[in-house]
Amino acid sequence: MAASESIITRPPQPGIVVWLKKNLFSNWLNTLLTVFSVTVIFLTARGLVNWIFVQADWAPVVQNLRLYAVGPYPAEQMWRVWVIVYMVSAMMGISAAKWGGTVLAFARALGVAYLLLALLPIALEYLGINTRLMLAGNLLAILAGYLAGSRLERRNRLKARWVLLAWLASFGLTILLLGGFQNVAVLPRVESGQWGGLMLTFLLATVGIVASFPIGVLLALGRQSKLPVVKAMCITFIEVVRGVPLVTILFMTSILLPLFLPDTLRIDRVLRAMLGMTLFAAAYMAENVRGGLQSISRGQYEAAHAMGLNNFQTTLLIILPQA
Amino acid sequence: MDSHLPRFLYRKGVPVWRDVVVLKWVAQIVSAVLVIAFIYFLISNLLEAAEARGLGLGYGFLKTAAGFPMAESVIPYDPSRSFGYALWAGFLNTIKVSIVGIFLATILGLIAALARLSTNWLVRNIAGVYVNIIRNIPLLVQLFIWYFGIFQQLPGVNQALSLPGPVYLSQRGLYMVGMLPTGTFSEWLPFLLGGLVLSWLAYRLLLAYQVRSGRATYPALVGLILLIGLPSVGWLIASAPPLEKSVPVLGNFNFSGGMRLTPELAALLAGLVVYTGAFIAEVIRGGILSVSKGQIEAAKAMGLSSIQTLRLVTLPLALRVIIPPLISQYLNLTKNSSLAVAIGFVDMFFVGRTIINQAGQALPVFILIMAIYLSISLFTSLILNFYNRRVQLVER
Repeated sequence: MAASESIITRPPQPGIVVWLKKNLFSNWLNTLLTVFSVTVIFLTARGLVNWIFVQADWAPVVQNLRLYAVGPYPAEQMWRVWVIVYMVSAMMGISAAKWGGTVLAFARALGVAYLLLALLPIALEYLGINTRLMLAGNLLAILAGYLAGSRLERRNRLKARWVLLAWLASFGLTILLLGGFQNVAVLPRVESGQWGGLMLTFLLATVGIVASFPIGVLLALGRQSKLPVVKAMCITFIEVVRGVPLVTILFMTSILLPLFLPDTLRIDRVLRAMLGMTLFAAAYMAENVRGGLQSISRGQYEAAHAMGLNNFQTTLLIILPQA
Repeated sequence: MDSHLPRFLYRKGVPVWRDVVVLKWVAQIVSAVLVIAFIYFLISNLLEAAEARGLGLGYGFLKTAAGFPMAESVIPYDPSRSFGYALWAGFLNTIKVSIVGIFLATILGLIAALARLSTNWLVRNIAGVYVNIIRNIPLLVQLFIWYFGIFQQLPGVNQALSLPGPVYLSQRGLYMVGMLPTGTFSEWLPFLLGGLVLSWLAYRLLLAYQVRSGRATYPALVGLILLIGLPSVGWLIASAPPLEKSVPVLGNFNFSGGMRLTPELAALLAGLVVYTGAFIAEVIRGGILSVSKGQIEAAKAMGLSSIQTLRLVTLPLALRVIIPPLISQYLNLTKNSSLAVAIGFVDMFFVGRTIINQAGQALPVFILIMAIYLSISLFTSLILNFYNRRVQLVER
């Protein structure tokens, strides 16, 4: 009896030798592969270490850190960027309090990243004590947002739709803050030609993701539609955009768009890039959504109709949440 | 009641403005009118702008002389050729990069996929690191690293890195052994093609006969013999060898002979192959994992050997899952080759941009380029849909 019980209980953990034997040296071919892999790793690592610490000259990178971050954005207007960064940090904290889970983990990682950047143990010209303090301050912003959010959440006052609206508002505020106004002394105009760096990347990516989502969903629904004209138009758009490279779309929007619009309507350079990205992403998004739509069984549609929902309600309340 | 009339004219009960059929048509007409009006608005603006700035909208400029040189071309090219010819040469360059890239990326992807499925912990993880790092870095950045970071940093011709082969790497690009056709090549070509076609035919016919009669006909063996035998016979019959080995030799200033890849082409190919290879690896891995264990066990229980299991059960099942995303990766590679413009390889997009700069014909050139890319994509997806319909699971 005792013997059979000990068989049922966990087998002993295999030792390191057993593990090595099983995973690396189980037969002659595996042994050969292991030796080959170790050689490859060793050569690569040696070359990489040699290059990083001996050959490469990191000075240009270090000296142009600000250029990487914001491009040619005027230095005396940098406070605007900081305001935006703080705003996003605080919003991250609030969202973490609202949704927890992945968002909380992300907010935590963001905070740690700020702290690490602030404590970077290298003396950098552009990373003076002020910048370091500003970076560390973001940690406080996240924390403050989180604490405020948790208090509201505990009293059930933090509605998800308000948080989403606040995100939307903060996005609008970002654009206004970055761009400034023509005749306001505090916020002078900064042309979008002077935006750049990582800031512009984030901005373009955010707009591309957020704006392409509704368009993509509409296109996918249009493609699934039973109305032949609507369907044909959606298919044409999706296939044309997916069939050509992103570069051609971006060139198209940046070079040709001004020709297509009346002279009175001048669209700014950054906006044109955003438009190209959004159209491109929307077509791909549409195909992803279509995959989701197709995975929903007919029974769901029929059940929704049997409940007395009309087409629009069926799509909005039953189909899209599942897709 | 006259049933020739449209329904809403004779139907009683539901008023016209609540009839679903009518409403659907109204919705379609309204949306169509909106879209057409928008397009009309754009085009009328365009015509106005074109008139105001004196931009031409026709394709007549394609016949005028190009006047710009091209670093490399599949077909003989010089600046006195027309714009249209230059665009054609660029198109052929795009096709060349795509075909070679697809071939190499598939091999790399297959190796990486098998490595990720290996029982060897080290091999599995090396492949995993490769796939995950490469897929998360933008292709443009990778192309810059290959071109400016690697191929531009290579030593000059006189200190060229020599690899076994011989392959020489230098700032002038990559030189390697090439096979050059000689005068008797055209005599030999029919034997080569005949071998290909006949071996395939023999394989299919013998296999069909084997399935029908149950007698062993050795289709693979016969096919292989035909595939190798016919070209060999042709080679022996020809008065001189139809292909000649050409080895690059370092002269005073440069290599002569052999096959040359310019640094731009080599960097573009390396970038595209490494990048797409990582994606293909994931596609193939997913396909192989999608074959359920039960199928393989059933095949073993039927008494098939492991090679037969792989060939007759695992591969057909896996391929059905692999092929569609694989083709879309091939298309991605073709489209991504337009990023060549960033490192100066003269593909179709590069030529198109040069033409826009020289002739100022932005719109016609763009329409032409987009139409060509689009027709490549649509043609491929047509074939893909055809294939899909053939291999699709037949459900109840």
